[in-house]
Amino acid sequence: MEAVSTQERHVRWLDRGVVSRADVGGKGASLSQLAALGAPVPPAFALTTDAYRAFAAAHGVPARATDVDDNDLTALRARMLAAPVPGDVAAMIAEGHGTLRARAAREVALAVRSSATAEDSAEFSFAGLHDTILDVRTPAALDAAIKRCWASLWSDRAVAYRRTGGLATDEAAIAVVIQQLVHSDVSFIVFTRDPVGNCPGHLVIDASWGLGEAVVSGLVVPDHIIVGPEDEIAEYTVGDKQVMVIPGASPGDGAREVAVPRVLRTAPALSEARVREIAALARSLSLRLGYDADLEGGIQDGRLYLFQARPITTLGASL
Amino acid sequence: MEASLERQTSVFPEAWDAPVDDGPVYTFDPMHTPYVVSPLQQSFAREVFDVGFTKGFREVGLPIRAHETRYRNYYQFDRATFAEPASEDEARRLGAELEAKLQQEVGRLQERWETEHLPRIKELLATFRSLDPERASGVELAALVDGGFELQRELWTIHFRLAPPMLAAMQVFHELYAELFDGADGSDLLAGGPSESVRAGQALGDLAISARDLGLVELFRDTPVEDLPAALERSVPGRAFWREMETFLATYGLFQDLYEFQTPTWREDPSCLLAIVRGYVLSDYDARAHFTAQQAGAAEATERARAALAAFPEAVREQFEGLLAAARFAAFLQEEHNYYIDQQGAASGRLFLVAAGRRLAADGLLAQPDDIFMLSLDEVRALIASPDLAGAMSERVSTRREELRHARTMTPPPFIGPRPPDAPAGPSNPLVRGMGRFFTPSPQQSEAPNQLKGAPASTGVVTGRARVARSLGEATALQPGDVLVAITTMPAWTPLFGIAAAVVTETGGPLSHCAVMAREYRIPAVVGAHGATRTIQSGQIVTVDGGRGVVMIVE
Repeated sequence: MEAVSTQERHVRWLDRGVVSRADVGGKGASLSQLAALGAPVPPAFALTTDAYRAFAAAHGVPARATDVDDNDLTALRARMLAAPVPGDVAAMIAEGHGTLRARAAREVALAVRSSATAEDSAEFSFAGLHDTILDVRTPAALDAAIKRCWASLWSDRAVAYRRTGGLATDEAAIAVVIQQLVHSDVSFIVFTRDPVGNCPGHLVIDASWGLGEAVVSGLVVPDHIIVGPEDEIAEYTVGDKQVMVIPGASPGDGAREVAVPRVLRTAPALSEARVREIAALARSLSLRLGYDADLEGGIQDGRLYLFQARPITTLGASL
Repeated sequence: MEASLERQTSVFPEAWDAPVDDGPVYTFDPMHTPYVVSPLQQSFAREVFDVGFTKGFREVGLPIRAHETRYRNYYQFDRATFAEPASEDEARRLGAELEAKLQQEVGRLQERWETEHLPRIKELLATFRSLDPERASGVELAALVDGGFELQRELWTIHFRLAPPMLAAMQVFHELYAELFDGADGSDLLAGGPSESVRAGQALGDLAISARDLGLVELFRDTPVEDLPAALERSVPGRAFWREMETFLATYGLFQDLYEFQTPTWREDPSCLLAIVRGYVLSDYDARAHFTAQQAGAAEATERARAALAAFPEAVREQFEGLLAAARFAAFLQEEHNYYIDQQGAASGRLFLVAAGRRLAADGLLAQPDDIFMLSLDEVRALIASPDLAGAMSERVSTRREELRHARTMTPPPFIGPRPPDAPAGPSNPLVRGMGRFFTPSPQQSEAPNQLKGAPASTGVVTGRARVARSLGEATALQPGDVLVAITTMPAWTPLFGIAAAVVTETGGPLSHCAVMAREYRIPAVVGAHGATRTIQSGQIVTVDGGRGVVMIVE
């Protein structure tokens, strides 16, 4: 009984029922929701906020943004990256990694994503504030990636965001989603409502070659597709996709940024059939989630995957 | 016609730089025609080659106005003129259309070759060979010559229908490979399939094996090439070898060491062939083992590239596989079309014209059969129609023989006309870029004394004794381990790559036939090294660095 509860405290599988935001952060919670709705999400588990707290307690990491001076953040993060993960948490990580490996058909690479409790809520997106590390393949790399995610709770930008958002006095905790990496041939973000144009019934897709980083971090001008109410392409603007992020050449390399061959830079990344498929999936999920969503996904070997969902937060602001 | 030929020859020697007309310049192409060109070959170039070039290019969507060949002092100069777009918009539109058309032709290159072009080529060659000018009467002979030229015209139209997508296919693959692999060269992946040239090379290798099996190694080693036929004739194993060589010649005898009607085919004069066999007998070169190793090497290089691309998006891998397949076929086709059209077509043309010459000589219209090469096609026609011209023609023949002999001592300029050649105008496309890498690059300044620079054509560094060869006849003195130094290498030369340590040419670029073949034979090569046959002397020790495009004269 004791062992089970320790495990439950530190690790939650995201495809075995809906898990709370308090335990696994916004990203983890929405992924568990997507999985419960039968959406094509890759296998993943979350390292809970309790696991973070165990680590924070062991190394004297402050709990609130008000507890720390801005000038001390760099030192705090360095200390966190160097500190060992408590033994029982480390054991749970190793077990989860082993299970993911056993579930994968081939050598497993991981996407390690920060998942803060306040993030991806309807009020706060925190989009891009916390770290995501792609193409993690070795236990040592996983250990380092998890600590980077934890430390990103104390990045200058994240702390500033909490302060301006009135969250400075809240206890901050962060979960980490450890997800089997989909080797995306094409990555996309789909907004089930046009966040800029507010065209009723239209949704918007941004797509580019390779892993999602290129689209998410704005490394490229992605293809921009406006999809009409019947899932038809209303407008396909081909972007200028100069670079792409792809998995490393060997384990331990991590994802790398490479140039897109000239012939593919201005070639459309999505076929019309793909656009329809993505649009239909996004609409049906948005309906069942009960909110207009911003979904990140990718296509590998012809199969569609979703990596995260969050409510669109900028709608109110643009009105 | 008559008048224009007069103009070429009567004012001999004509100044090189006098403009031919108001158009752009005419360029000397030493890669294809380094030497003097006979009057009959000149007629062929105008009535067959130019027409086929223009028609073929038009058929694959290139806006060519005309390909034109002109002669000065028996040297060939040529130019291609293209339609000028009326506006920048039109230029862009035409450029996009051309790229799309090229892409389409690249995509169906193999299918068209296999189902359309090759069957037609074989048919044309068979029809052409069935013509028998020697037995034709005067009137029939005139019709036969015209008919024969008509068949050749179609052959060369096919040639120039193939050439643009073939070059473009290789170029776009090389560009993609360089983009994906940090500027590296992807030639190793393109080892051609079992083309007829490869089969000819293997059959040549088999001849050398037979010579060894028949105990003829000493005979080959100790007998000068010119005495070999007589020496072989004197012994039973020698005669057995000769019979095998005749079988080889029946299949692969239609090679010439230059693109010129005057050059005998191997079938007529097997001394070059014998010299190559001799080189094979004295070296341990094994054509079949080499081909197998080369295929395995290409397969390995391909697997390495695929492994490196495994992490890349599917669209990149698909693009790579598509372009690789097209380029691999194009590399094969570069050999194959050359064998069928450039070699078989030209050699059959020679045999046909020699037979016509025999007919004319038998009728007393020519003093000897090969006088026919000294006349233009119109003059041949005129001679058949009016036998009383025989005297006048005979005088022209002797004048021109003398002029040709004199012209051989000249060095033609790189171009004639009012201004130097420009970089190709208009939008860049894979064909233009490919042609830029097919033809000879501009001369490059050497960085050190005793150094020559050209284009890197096939990687590797090797040091050996230079053998400078202006003809295949001279090249046959090449010993195993020598560095072959030539102005250009015709397809008939390539079996020599099996025993050469390296090759250096004055002409051609990294996509030229010589460069492609050097890579296939896996010997270092530097091409487009201007002046190499004059700077380097036979017997000097040279170091060839094929990856850097540098030749050093060591001593």
